[in-house]
Amino acid sequence: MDKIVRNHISVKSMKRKHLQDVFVKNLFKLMALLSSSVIILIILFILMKGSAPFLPNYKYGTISLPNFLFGTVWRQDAGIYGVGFIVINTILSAFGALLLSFPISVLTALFIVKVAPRKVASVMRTIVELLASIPSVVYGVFAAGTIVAFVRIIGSALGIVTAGGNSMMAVIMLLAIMIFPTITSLSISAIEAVDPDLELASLALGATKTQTHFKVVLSSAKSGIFAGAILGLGRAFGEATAVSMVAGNKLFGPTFNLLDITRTLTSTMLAGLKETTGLDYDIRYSVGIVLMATILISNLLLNYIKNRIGNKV
Amino acid sequence: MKVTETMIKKRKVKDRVLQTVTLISSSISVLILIMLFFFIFQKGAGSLSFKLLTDDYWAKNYLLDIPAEQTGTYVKPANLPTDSFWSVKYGFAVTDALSHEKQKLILIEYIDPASPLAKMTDASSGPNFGKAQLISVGMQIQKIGYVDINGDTRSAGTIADQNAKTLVDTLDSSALTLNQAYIKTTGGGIRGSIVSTFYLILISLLLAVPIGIMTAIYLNEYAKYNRFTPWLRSSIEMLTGVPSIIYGLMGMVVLYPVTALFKASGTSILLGGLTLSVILLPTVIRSTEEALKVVPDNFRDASLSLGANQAQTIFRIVLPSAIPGILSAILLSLGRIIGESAALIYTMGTFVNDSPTVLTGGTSLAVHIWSLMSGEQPNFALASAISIIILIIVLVLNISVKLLSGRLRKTWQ
Amino acid sequence: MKKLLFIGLATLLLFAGCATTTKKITGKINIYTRDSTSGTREAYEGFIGYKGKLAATAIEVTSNGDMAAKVGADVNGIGYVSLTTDFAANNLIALTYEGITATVATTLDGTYKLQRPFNFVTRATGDFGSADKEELVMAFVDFLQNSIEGHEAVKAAGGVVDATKGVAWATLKTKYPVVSKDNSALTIYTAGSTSVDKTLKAALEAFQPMAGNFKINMNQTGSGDGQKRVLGSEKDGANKADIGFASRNFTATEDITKAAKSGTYCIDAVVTVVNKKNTNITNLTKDQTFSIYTGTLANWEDIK
Repeated sequence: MDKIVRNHISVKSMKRKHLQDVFVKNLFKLMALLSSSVIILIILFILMKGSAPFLPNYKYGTISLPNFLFGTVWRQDAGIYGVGFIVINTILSAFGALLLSFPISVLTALFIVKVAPRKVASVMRTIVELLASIPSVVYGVFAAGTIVAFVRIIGSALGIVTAGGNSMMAVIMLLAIMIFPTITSLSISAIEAVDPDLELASLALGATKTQTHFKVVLSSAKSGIFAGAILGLGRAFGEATAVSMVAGNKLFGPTFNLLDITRTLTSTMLAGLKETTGLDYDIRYSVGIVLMATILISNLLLNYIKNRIGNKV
Repeated sequence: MKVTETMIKKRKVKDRVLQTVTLISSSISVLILIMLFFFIFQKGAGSLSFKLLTDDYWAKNYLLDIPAEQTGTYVKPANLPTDSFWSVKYGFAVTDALSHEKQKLILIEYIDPASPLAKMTDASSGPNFGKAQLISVGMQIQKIGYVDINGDTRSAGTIADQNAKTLVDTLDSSALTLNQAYIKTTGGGIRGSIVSTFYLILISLLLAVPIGIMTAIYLNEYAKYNRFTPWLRSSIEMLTGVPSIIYGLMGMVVLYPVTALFKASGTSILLGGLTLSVILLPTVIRSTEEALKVVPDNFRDASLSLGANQAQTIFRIVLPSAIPGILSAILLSLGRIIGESAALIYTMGTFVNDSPTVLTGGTSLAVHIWSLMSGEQPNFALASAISIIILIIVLVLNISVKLLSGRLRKTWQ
Repeated sequence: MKKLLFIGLATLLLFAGCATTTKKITGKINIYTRDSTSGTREAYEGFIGYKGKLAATAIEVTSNGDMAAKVGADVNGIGYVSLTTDFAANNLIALTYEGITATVATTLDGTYKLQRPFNFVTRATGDFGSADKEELVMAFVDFLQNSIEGHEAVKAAGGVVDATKGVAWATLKTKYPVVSKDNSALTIYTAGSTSVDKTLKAALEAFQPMAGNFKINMNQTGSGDGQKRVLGSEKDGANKADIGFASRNFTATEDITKAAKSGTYCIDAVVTVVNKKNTNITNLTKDQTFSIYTGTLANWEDIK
């Protein structure tokens, strides 16, 4: 069918178009495969590099795994690396931040969606978005200046000595501020998605507006709010630069005293980065594995709780 | 159950309490934002200047020869600030200052154009030897070497533990001829970091945007609904849950050999850009997919029925309609690049480089802030000044994204 | 509510603050010490004699500047820093030791006993990567140790040098023709003690324009890394350096025989410091310091 009615419709041009299609499709498929394989690469390589210090032939001297996992001292100069207490510190600070931030975020979301007048609500929404887009270093600068001074004031008012204000409390307050926008925006979406009929029904049955908000709206938005909390917790676990500016980097023991300096997994990975080599550098990968494991386990745990609570409704 | 007066009263009180608590919680977030902006602007606004944007970060040290002709007296100009001291013999004014590390400095306030100090030449060997080196207001006088009336060589300046007044007095009274001057610029500029950030944006967008768009197109236009596609999707979604510091670790291990191919050793902007493009992928893919989904299927069907193949349909019909969405993806990514720090600390290094190239290390603006704050004397003033710049850029980007997505929504409604 | 609390606490502090400036400090003594790579720590522990007996509650800080910042922010703190530290800027008061104030004069004539040398060691001959670089490093070391200009810079930064023994750089530089070349392609890397930071930086910056504007890269992390990064286990690693510094003498395990040059460029005094608001004491004897750092004397009011 070489000679046909139109020049641009011919076997040759059909073939060309088909080849073009195949080429483009495979190119794009390749890119998609590349994008999706990144996560595997990340997990693989960090696992490899992070487990190296525990293997028998490690060139800087093998570290014993139980000592690493359950140790309570982290001293790079003495070669003692125990990450156990750091995990406890990290969990404490992340959950503490969640505890502090959760009620405030949910109430703010409720206010924005249900209580505030139109104009105020839109201003508040912009404020929440702004807070969400501020980079973590700027939060770190703010924390190192203001929050640390605040903790110092509290410390001296209570008569407790603080190491200049760097403390667990400063970390918790900082993280609470940073995860607030996350939880709030997800709670806003969740509350907005509540069926208005439910609200109307509650009001019709004689409940006041506030009663309706707290007993009906919030409970229906429960799973979305919970999802926001999980996301916020993930952010609290993973925050590195801002936390390293206020933590203080304590050398031993889980820190239960709020006003004492502390150390988290991420601040450990960043501490002294300008000058490390050898074992000290590689051990950070192992800490990275512990971090990812912690995030994974807490996510699974919280998702499990979410499903259980969801089912009870 | 009868509703009594007391029940209603109790209900009212409870409601009041809950409403107050809600109001207070909401005002906390406003309070925090205000506090944050207030703190940053208060600490940083004083340091913001055009000089900040164009200066080097590291102080430059100049050794300058003072020309032998040093006669004349100089009249003190009328408009000098009251805290500066004027040298009648040599025609310059200096003032005292404190560096952010609280070290004493002697800063140049004014130089008479006829003064010997205005005609100094560079005494360092190298391409500038013998060339006139202009010194400007704001530079520090570390040392002025002079010969005194007894013929001894002596030093004046910060190095001899003097302040502005004693420097001027010493030179005016005991100095016969001035030999050399050791002048320092104050440094603290962020030009290097701005250039590094620019290179970083270029490299990461160059990689993330094409790959992201192509992946999104594949997922939305080509992929069949088989078991495999959800896996693809979720493995990309999982990337968003990984903390950025882990990306830094990954970059050093996985992507480092790639930069080694380009002859970059150690940390480099190239490595940082590669790592950052991985971080940006999920955002670009998701936003592009959203934009592609919005394009009505009728468009695609019409194009195909007119004889175009799928590739032509995508490139000529679908993509152009999705441009606003892609643009907002790029703007979001831009915000992420400027704010990213942990991953870059590992892959780009923390050494502030005044003349960065793609293959050397450098600091983006955010990493520069971290570098300033993690020294022993955190430099709040400069850190806050850079934060102001970052905040303004992020603000502008956010507003643009909102405008764009507003336009996008309107187009299809 | 939180706003009210904040204002309430702030006013409380105002009153508390007015009170503490005149009252004495009471309560636990917060001991600050340097980490184990520190030469300052070695010197201090050596003189006071509590090596190995440090109280477990001691807070470790990472560098000289960090120590200054932390003690300056902690009213109950006590620590030790180099004499080059700016006491006023860091809110510190320097205590006298056994009745002697630490000054340049008392350090030079030996009456202030807590002193240690700032030592340096360079890479082995031929190990610098280029002949020009080696000559440049030798020129700098000569400048630092022997020239009048070098002494000037070190003194201005707080180091203790015997300025009478200096030679004009113009005389010394004839041995090093490389300083008359354009050296902007060369970088001198330094490592080691953090206490030498101020004096070293001043010397390097003064020398830079005199020697063709070479680039400076200082990476001070602790005396323990000084010899390591020029001759020891990290001499070819990512953090290798051309000159290593220690704020103490090099130990027997730190072999410096292969170095092209090593020596002392100034002495420094280690000064016990407390927070500016601490008016309890102005002097500490060796025994008192020993008791504080081993934990025997635990509270400020116990020090007579």
